[in-house]
Amino acid sequence: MPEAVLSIRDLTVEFDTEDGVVHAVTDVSWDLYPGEVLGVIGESGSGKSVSLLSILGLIPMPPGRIVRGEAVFKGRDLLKLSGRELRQIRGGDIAMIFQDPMTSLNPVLKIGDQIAEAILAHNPRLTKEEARRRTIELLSLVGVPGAEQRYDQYPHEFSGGMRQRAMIAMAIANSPSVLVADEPTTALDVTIQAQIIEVLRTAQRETNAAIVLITHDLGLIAELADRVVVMYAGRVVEQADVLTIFDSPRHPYTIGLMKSLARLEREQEWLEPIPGQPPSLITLPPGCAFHPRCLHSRGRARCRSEVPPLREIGEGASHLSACHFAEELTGAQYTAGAGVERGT
Amino acid sequence: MTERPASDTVPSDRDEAARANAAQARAATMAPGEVGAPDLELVYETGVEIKARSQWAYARMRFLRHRLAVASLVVLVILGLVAIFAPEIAPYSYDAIDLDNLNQSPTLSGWHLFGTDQLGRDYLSRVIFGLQTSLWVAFVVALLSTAFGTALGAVAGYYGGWIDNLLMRFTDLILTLPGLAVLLTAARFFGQGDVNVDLGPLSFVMPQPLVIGIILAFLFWTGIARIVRGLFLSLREKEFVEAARAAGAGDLRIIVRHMLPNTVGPIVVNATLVVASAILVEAALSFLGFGIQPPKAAIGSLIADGQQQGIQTWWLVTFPGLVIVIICLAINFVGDGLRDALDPTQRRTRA
Repeated sequence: MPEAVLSIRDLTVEFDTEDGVVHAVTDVSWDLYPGEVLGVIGESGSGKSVSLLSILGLIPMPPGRIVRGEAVFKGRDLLKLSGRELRQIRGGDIAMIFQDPMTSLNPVLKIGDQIAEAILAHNPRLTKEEARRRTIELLSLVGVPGAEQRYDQYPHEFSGGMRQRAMIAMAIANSPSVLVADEPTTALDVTIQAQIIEVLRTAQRETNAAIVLITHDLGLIAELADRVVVMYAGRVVEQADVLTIFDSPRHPYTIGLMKSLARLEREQEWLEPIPGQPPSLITLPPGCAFHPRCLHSRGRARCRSEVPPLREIGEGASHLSACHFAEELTGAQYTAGAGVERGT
Repeated sequence: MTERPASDTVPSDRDEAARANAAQARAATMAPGEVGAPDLELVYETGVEIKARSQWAYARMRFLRHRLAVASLVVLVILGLVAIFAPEIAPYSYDAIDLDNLNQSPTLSGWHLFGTDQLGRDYLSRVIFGLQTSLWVAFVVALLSTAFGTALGAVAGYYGGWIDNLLMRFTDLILTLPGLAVLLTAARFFGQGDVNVDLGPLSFVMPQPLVIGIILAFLFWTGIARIVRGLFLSLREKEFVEAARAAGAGDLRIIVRHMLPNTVGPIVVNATLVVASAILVEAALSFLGFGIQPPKAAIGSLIADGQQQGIQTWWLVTFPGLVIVIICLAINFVGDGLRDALDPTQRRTRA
């Protein structure tokens, strides 16, 4: 396997609030390899965004606090860099695409100028004219028609899809080696989502960047991701390549996610939700944080007393699960979802 | 490249391409045999220029629809020009004495349109020169207080925390000062004439209106500081600020390039209103004898001179008073118009 471009080890992030300490991210570790798309999925508040924002120095500190861990990017630990060094990397070697293109663009600045500014910030030697030309190239690349004229327009003159294209153009402006896409399609219409997925693919082809795709949309994961990290309550609970995750998930939470997904090829009368609520990150349940909602635990003491480590299971080293009883979860009744359980 | 009209005899590549596209689009959307609508075709071939309209263009449109504001702006511009070209426009100098016409009521003879005072000085000329002084002071106040207040409010709002606390408590402190008392004291010490500034190598004479302007600005920046701080507090939570940060922008760049342009509307409106109140306060100072010193004229001191003479020489208070009323009204109307025009959430003007 090639060397990882970004590897996170034991990242732990907490927030001090009036109600207590929020354990937003706990002992998260994963590697990102060049050119791949790593999907990070989980419910809202499972720590998927925070883990990435924190290594880029984008969470407010205080109240945020990085307790331990490292994030090695090209041989340097991002968590040890000064503000200035980190700023060099942000938007340059590591770029972000945000969720809502309606609010992520400055309403009073021209679209083109905003992108050109991102270019100039990292290439001070370029002239304005060169930055403008590059911006127009980028806008055409992400499929903004009439890029020359569009350069001088303001965000309110762009539709949602076009704005997200502009955001992507801005993100790939400095040919990053890592592209963090934080729910890039959540705020868009379904038809536009498909187009944006296509643009993301183009962007990746063009820059050969590794993409971290943060989302709760399993469809988007299936469409784009090569490998998947599943997060629950601030921890990684399962990690595998995308086919394995969809075909043979080995963590009750992942299985629950798959079952709650509407699928056309199966006759389902009901979607099966995961019972209960995500736990409070201030007072996490003892042991496995998922045990109160777990259909597989069946009240076993170990689930309540011992935090399950993320460990290699079964076929090959690439499949990791954080369930004490992951080996039991191989039966067809889990992988085939609701259909089997209804006895068909 | 500019748009070519359809009748252009030399078709460019782009026209060709547009035509081909148009043909394709028609083929795709129309049943065979159907005839395309002629005006649609025209649209395709001439191309519809999508004009990029800036926020400023929209603001200008909205402002121009505000008739009272536009009229007020015209009045202000005229008064401003009169003030700037006072020596050319005024029929007499501000201290020229016409011994044949003492206490003359407004008359056409000798062009004493606003009459003369008991020394025979032409009051129209004194009002024009007074206008110059007053506007000059007001301009200094608006500029200084807006610059200082904006900078302070921006830093406080952007960084928050103890910096915010420190700067805002300082602002509160200034606000608690009894304004007129402080102004009178300061004007008594510093504002009784031109001030010689001696800073070793840097020595110069500050003209009195500038001194008065600085003294007034010292009390006027608090309002704008609070407004800008409030705006920055809400702006810094906006996603585009986070996006700018994620794109590698530093604090100064975010404040100046990304956040300040979003606050221009309220700042401009506030600055215009500061001009109005600065004129009033300067007039009050001069009225009380602490402002611009005679024989120089300021609107306030003109009214003060006039009221000492009693009701018989009514023109001595009426005309300078009217000028103040007109200026302040006009500025407030312009401020209203600007507020409506610069509010981006508002697409239509109020009637």
